Amino acid sequence: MIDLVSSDLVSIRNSLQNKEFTAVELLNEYIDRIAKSSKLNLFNTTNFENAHKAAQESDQKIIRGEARSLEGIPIGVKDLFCTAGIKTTASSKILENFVPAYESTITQKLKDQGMILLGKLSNDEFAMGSSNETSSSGPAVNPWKGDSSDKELVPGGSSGGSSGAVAASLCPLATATDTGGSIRQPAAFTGTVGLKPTYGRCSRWGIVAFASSLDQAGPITKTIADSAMALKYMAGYDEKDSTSADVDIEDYEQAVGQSIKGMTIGVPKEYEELDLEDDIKQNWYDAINWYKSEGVEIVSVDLPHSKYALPAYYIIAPAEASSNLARYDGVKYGTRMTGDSLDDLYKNTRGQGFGAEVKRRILIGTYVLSAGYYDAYYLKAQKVRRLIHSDFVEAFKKVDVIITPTTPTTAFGIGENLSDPLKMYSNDILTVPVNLAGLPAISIPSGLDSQGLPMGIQLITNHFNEGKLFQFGSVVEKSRSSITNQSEWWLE
Amino acid sequence: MNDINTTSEVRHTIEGQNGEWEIIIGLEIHAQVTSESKLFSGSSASFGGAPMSHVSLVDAAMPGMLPVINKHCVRQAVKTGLGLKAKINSYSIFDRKNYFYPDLPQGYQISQFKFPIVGEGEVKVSLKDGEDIIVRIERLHLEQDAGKSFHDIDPENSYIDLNRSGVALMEIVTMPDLRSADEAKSFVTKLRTILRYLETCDGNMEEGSLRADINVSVRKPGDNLGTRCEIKNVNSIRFIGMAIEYEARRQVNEIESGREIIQETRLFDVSTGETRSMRSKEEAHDYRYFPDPDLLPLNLEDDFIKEIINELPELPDYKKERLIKSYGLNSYDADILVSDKNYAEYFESVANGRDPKISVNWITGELFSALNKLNLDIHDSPVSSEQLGELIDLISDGTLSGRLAKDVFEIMLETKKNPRVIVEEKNLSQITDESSIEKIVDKIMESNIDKVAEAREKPKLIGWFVGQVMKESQGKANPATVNNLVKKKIGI
Amino acid sequence: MVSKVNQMTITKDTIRKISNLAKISIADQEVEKLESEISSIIRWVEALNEVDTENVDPMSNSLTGALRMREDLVTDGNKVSDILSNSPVDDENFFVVPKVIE
Repeated sequence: MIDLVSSDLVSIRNSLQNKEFTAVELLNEYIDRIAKSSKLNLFNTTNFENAHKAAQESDQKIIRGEARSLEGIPIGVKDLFCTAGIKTTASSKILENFVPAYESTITQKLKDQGMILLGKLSNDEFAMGSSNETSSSGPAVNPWKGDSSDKELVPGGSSGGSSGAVAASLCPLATATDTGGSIRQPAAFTGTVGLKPTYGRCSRWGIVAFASSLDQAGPITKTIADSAMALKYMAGYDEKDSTSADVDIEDYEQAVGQSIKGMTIGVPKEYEELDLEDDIKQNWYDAINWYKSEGVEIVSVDLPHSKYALPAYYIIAPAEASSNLARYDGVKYGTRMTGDSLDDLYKNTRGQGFGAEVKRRILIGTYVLSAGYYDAYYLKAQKVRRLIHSDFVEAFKKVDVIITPTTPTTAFGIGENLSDPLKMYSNDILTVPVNLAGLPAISIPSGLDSQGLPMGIQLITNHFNEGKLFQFGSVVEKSRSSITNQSEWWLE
Repeated sequence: MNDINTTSEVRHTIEGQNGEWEIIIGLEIHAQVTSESKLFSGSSASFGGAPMSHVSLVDAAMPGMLPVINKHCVRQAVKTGLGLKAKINSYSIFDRKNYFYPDLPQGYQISQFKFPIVGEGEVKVSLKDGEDIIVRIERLHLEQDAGKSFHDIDPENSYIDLNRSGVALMEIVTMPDLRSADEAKSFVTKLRTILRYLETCDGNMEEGSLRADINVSVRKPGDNLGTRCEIKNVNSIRFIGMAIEYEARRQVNEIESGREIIQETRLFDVSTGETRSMRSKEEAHDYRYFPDPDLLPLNLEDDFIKEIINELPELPDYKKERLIKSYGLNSYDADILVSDKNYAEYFESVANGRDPKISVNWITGELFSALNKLNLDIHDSPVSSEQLGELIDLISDGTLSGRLAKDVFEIMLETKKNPRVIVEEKNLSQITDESSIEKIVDKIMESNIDKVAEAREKPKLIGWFVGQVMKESQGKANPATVNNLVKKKIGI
Repeated sequence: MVSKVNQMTITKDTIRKISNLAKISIADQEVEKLESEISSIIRWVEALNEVDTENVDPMSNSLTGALRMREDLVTDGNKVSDILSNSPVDDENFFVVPKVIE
């Protein structure tokens, strides 16, 4: 019996390579636990049969001393990454039977290191959402519950399947994507570590696109060391992605826990005026003090345009999405709803194939790009985006890292925010500026609120400086109070 | 824009019921870039192929697929811009043009809208009457071609092939500087010549490598521009002329009947020679152009452009000037020779060390009519430029008379043999030796004594004697010598 | 003080027009709901009008480099079965759609 709950990516890698257990044994444990966790509704598709074969091969390789870096480690993959021969749905009805003939660059890189795909994890449909409630397979459920409540909570979104699966110890690593906070916010809601790398750090090739200038893949893991290890294998230049950056990869693993004495951390004063839950605000101040006691200089920074990030984002992201999702038209692949004419076919396919939130965003995006409105909305937002970016550029002349809470609240109840889009959107208020500026940021569990729910601290740094996030992140990891989820209420 | 002022001179009009009308024409030429692979994917750009065989995952707009630009296509666009004496924009942007059509798999065409790669330029066009006009080029941009829809395979359905999807096109837009069908035809012919010189487009209209959208309006001379109609996708120079003539006449009739011209898109029907409204486009398009977030701005380094400048071939206008100057050709002959760079090349090879006028006469006379009959291009000519040169040498040194040379040329066409070989084999060399010719003359006169007497009265009969001598010598006798001898002997 | 952009009101017709552009069928009863939701979102994003963006260049990507170009080589294609494997309707290697009337 392997203790999956107390295992993490690094420990599993070591145990496999030290032959403490076999890849097949490990896989069986995970499959068993996944089977007992169906209440969480985290998996869209499982891949157990193929995984078995792969685990057997991994064991052979380990025995022969040919183990690759991540040999035999089972992982979960957000259902936005195309996986060859395995259904990839983006949690949308319009792709419910789509089986790509190709493998995304990121999952291929992980496969090449010996990782084994457990299955495809739920997300908000086309990654549009902050609660994982818009998935065509129904809401994913947070493994956490409040201390004195039986209310089921959202695992955050859009990578709620990924964050939930890591939090529930159903895999030690899940891939995810972050367009406006979709890695960091779910990580904060589930007590996991979520890293959004610099835009261009990880290839977007083979990942179902939401908003191309903002989308970025990254890992959700239990620890910072795991995150650093995962990024090492996910990052890198890809000639198939014109926005992939040809920038050297730092030694991320080595950066973890390095001394930060004498370095600087920035606190954006504008963020203090935001509507943050009291516990979250207190946790943020606590975290600032942890850094102070590490000998880090605390500096106030100005991010005056950050308060416009959310409205700018809700123009830019829907605009790009309205175009990116035009390819789902029922002609070449995916669900087709028939109609008397081609026009009916299009409209029925897209009208019935997309869910409410996706349609809403496509319509907003169509509107802001349409004749007569482009300058007032889209172009304006692009200009504001530059101002937001410039604020950060200025700030990073003064500081190494900026610290903020990841989310204004802890996890909320399923269904609570669904009827009010604007309230739902406000979840991303602290994460969205980072995407607009293309910066790397990490959410690290930083304690539990008074209801016993996890909170997250967000660290942001300059482009292609992910190493600093791991370096600084260790302080939060070692200073926080325990964040163990005592109850495993969902297990059957 | 002050298009009207700069071309205010009335060059051409058509007659209406109540006076003269001027036709105003602007063209948008779609020229397929000569390249191995497509603009944004690595599949073949070659014409034809089994359905879907030249299609990559990118061309089929599979989820997560991304464009990567073809450097050669960029070079081709710059080269073409230089050939059109146009401004090369070192900074340009690719935009998405959004619309739904089954042969447009992405739901958008990647094109260039606000910032094209090539700006304003001009083309000099020689008209039939010998006059030159300047047609201003507004811009040239790169874009993707769409796939092909077949409406005649099945009565109920349209069939879509994506082989052309993503092939690189240059859209070349003129100012409304053309005034007649003939001018438009001459312009397209000249443009095609330039493209072929540059080898940036093969100009093959049957295969759709060159298509024109034609904007036509009419006005009373001196009036402001009238409402224009756009005739889409006309694919031969002859049809361009027919479409303009029909459309101009239609517009004049409409206005003279008291109706207004509605700005609309029209189709040219090859079978009737008429244009008709595309009524299916019931609603104006709103293409929602915006910068493609999968691509960064295109920045061309000075060296990149310089390298292309250095590779530019001699273009037709310069070549014509040089041919006139160096060979003393007239403008008419020079125009014919530069209309295809292979003609000019052939000519220069023949005229090297020979009489240019004789060379050009042989090429545009005997050679062209032979090639025309055989339906061959000049580079497939059975008579090489070296062989034709040799033939001309045989004329110059008196070995062959003009008549004999034509016979030899016929044999050259059939046998591809060198003229000297033919002359030897067939013993065709001209008899110039006076005593040999005199013998034949004497022989003819002896057997026609009565005619000799007659000829003294009627000198016209000399021709008959010359003919008899030529016949007797199998055409080999030098006609001038024969003529002299006959006259001498008869005593005139 | 930055002048406000002229107020743009979203009506049911706007919803119908953009859903037609986006090729999404919207049931009549949905139109009203979308009108109010999208109106409020659009009003909310108009907060951007407070920002002075005079002389600010638009930014469409956070990457600052130039577009990378690939060599002109045929490296792809001839994968008909991959292209058609998810097709709802195909025939003789063509995608098939209801007749398009030109």
